[in-house]
Amino acid sequence: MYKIYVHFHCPMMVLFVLLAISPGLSAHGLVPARNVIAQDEPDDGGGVIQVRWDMSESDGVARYEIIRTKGAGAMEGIAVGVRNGAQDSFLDEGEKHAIENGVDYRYVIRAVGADGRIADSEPSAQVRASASWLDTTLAANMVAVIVFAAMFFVLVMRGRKGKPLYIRPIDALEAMDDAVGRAAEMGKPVFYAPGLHSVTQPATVASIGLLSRVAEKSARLHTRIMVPNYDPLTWPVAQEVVRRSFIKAGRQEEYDPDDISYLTSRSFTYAAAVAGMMAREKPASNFLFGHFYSEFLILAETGAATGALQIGGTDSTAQLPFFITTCDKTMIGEELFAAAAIVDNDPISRSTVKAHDWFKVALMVLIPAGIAVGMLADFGMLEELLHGLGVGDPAAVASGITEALGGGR
Amino acid sequence: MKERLGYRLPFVLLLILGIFMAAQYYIPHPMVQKPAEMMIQWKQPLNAFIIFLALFGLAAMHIRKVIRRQRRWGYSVITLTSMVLMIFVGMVWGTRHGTIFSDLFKHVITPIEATMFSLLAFFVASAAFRAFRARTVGATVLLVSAVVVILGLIPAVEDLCPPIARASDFLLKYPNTAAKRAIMIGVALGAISVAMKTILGIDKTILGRNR
Repeated sequence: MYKIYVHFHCPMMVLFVLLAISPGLSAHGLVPARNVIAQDEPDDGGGVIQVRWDMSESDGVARYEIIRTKGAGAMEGIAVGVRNGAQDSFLDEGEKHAIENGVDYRYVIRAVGADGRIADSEPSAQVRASASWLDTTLAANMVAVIVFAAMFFVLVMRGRKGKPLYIRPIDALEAMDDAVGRAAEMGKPVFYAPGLHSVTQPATVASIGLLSRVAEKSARLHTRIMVPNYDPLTWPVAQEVVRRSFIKAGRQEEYDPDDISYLTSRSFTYAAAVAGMMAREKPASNFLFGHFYSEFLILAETGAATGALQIGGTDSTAQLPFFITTCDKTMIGEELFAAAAIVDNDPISRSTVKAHDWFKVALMVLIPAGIAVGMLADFGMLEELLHGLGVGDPAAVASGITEALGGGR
Repeated sequence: MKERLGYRLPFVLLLILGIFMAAQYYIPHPMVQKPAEMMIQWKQPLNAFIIFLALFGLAAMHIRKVIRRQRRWGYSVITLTSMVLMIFVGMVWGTRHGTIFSDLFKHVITPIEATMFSLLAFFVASAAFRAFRARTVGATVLLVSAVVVILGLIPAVEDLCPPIARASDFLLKYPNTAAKRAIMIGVALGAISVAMKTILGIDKTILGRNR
């Protein structure tokens, strides 16, 4: 710089020459960001553009302002975001100014120095946001669901033909009838809690399925059944199921709608109310099926203290230890769903349980295979193996497999 | 004919909407997402109506109990009085912070719930006592594992006896996580199965129909 100054004897001339010989240098000496790339964000509903750039080579860049221009020839842009001097990407979600799908946009990155100098980058190529018809990030999930659905349909078809299917007996399910029988012998009521989730949730649907079995058995044995509800939507469904069960058993005159009541939608208030009912009524058998939270232990321990036989089942992994501890028989996880299908004597419904088993077998093969492939990739042996198997471009395939496995770790 | 239509219509709607809502999970396009969001929003007024219905049912049940002088009808009087009181103060003075409604909630409901929650500590102790009696080989393994995990979670043990802390960490990280994941896979499959049975009309539980 000094030499140039000496040679030209004029600082303005030096600056002019520097600008001429260095196209990347701004008029104020700050090097702008380069290679601005704007791309439509994939796998979304549109209206989002991802912008990346190579950071300025100058020191002292305080921030980058992201400027969006609309249309091919537009000169005026709007600032849509700011990134600090160490960041080189921005996701324009159109928070301040919405991005229209199918419209051309360009981006300019403005480097702003700590001393206020600015340098604009070359604009990016035109980019257009678009909405996707398929979220490819969920491809593995979708394939798994399709495979499961295929197994489901095959087995349902087999069920329709009436082919016999072996289903492993579930202890807790077999004990249900005995528990109702116990209540009938003792002349005490049966207590049924359908969980804290709404009837729109699978665990509650399964629980209501089991309720129909318990209610019908209770009706046949002239035993009172009490169903306190937490969810206002589950309550009328439970009431209708119990009413129909009593009709099916030919004991409609014994059905009391007040026994299938809505209590409250606050979990500990519900626990207090149900624990109080248990202490007063002293039911012979308690059925606790569905999704519960921490209040479950209050219900189950109170039930155990009153000497009731308790049968439970839940899909909540957090509450399962408490179920196993406090209940005489427990349905663990999927057993709850399987039991709901088994109690239904319909062969189609029963055959759906088989679909779980088939898919689990497939998973039992795939999981160790995935572990083995992952280990081979970690030890760098996957590429060699693929090469040995005659796979074209083994490096790319190995990289793809490693990336796919890495996503799941 | 009318009855058949009335019987089948809910299942036809369930099939169409069920498939649509399952598909929208994989399709981010606004043409699919906007109707899906709208349908989810429909739940709000429906929920409000359902809660009103449930409260009406609850009040009716307790009124019947009082009128018939059923066993323990005194509790029903307390419930009805509380219900009327809360509705009255809420409607007259509002439900915002600092109102009588808010104070009643804060000074009555909240302490009662906190009391119930705090009882959990005693229930956990009594449940643990029953679970950890070493009657069988399985129960003994459970007992030993529990003791190791409990000790391993005490900060001082990490310095005094590092192997116990490591064993505790191992138990939580590997056997525990593996078992949890296995259960979660089973639950997920069961949930998909229930959803498919419901959508296809194989399971009619959701509409209150018996099997």
